[in-house]
Amino acid sequence: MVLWYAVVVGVVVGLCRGGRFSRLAALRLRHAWLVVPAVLVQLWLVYVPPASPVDGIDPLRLWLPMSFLPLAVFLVTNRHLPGMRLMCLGFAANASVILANGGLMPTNEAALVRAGATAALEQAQEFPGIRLQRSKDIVLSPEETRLLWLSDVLVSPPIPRQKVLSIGDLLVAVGIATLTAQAMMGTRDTQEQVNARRQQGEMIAHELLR
Amino acid sequence: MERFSRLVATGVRNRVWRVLWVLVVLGTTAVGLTAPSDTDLP
Repeated sequence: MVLWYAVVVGVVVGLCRGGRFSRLAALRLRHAWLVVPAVLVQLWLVYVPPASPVDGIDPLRLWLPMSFLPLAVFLVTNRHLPGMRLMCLGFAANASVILANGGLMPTNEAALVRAGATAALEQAQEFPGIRLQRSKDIVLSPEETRLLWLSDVLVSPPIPRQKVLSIGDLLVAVGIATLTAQAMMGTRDTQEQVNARRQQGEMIAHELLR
Repeated sequence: MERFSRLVATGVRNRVWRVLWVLVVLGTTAVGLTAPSDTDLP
C-alpha cells in the first residue's frame, strides 16, 4: 500500500503546483497493458502459501524475476517521461538484489524489529529459510545477504503501519510521484500534442477561410 | 443540440476512463516494481 501513496503524493503535489487532474488523460503510456499480467502473476504467487525447501523451489523464486521482463519493457519504452529514469534505477536496484539472493527480496531480523513486525519475526524463527507468508521477502542474516544495502533494510513511517522497504522502493516511489505530478502539470509529450493540435486547427481554419 | 450533448458526454466519459486507467497503471506499476507484500494486498 505504501507505494500507492506515491501516486497520491504526486496528485497532491500536482494540484498544489497548479496542475489539473484531467491532464492525466493526456499521458501516453506505451505498452501499459504489460504491467497488468506481470502484477497479477506476482499477486497470485504471493497469495500462494510459501513452499518449504523439502517440497522443492518456491514458484515465486522463478516467477518473480520472470515478471520483471514485461515491467522492464514497459519502463524502457517510456523512459522519455519525467520520473521514469528514477523508476528504472529503483527497479534495477530491486531486481539486482532479488536476483542475487535467489529470486526473493531479503530482509533481516533487525529491520523487522524496527518495523514492529512481530508476526513475521515469529514466522521466520519458526520456519527459517522460507519466504514470509503473503510477501516476497525472506529473512536472512546480514552475513548471508548479497547486496545487503539494496535489500529491505529501511523502515517506512507508520502510514498506517510501518513496513520494511528498500532504496529501490524509495526511488520508484519518487519516480512515480514525479511522473504523476508532471503529467498533471503537462508533460513534454502533452505539450507536443497540444502544439500539434493547435497547428492542425490553424491549418483547418486556414482551409475554411480560403 | 442533442447530438452535441451526446458527443460532450462521450468525451467526458472517455477522459474520466483515461484518467482512471493512468492512475491504475501508475499504482500497479509501483506495486509491480517493488513486488507486492502483505500490506499491498486487501
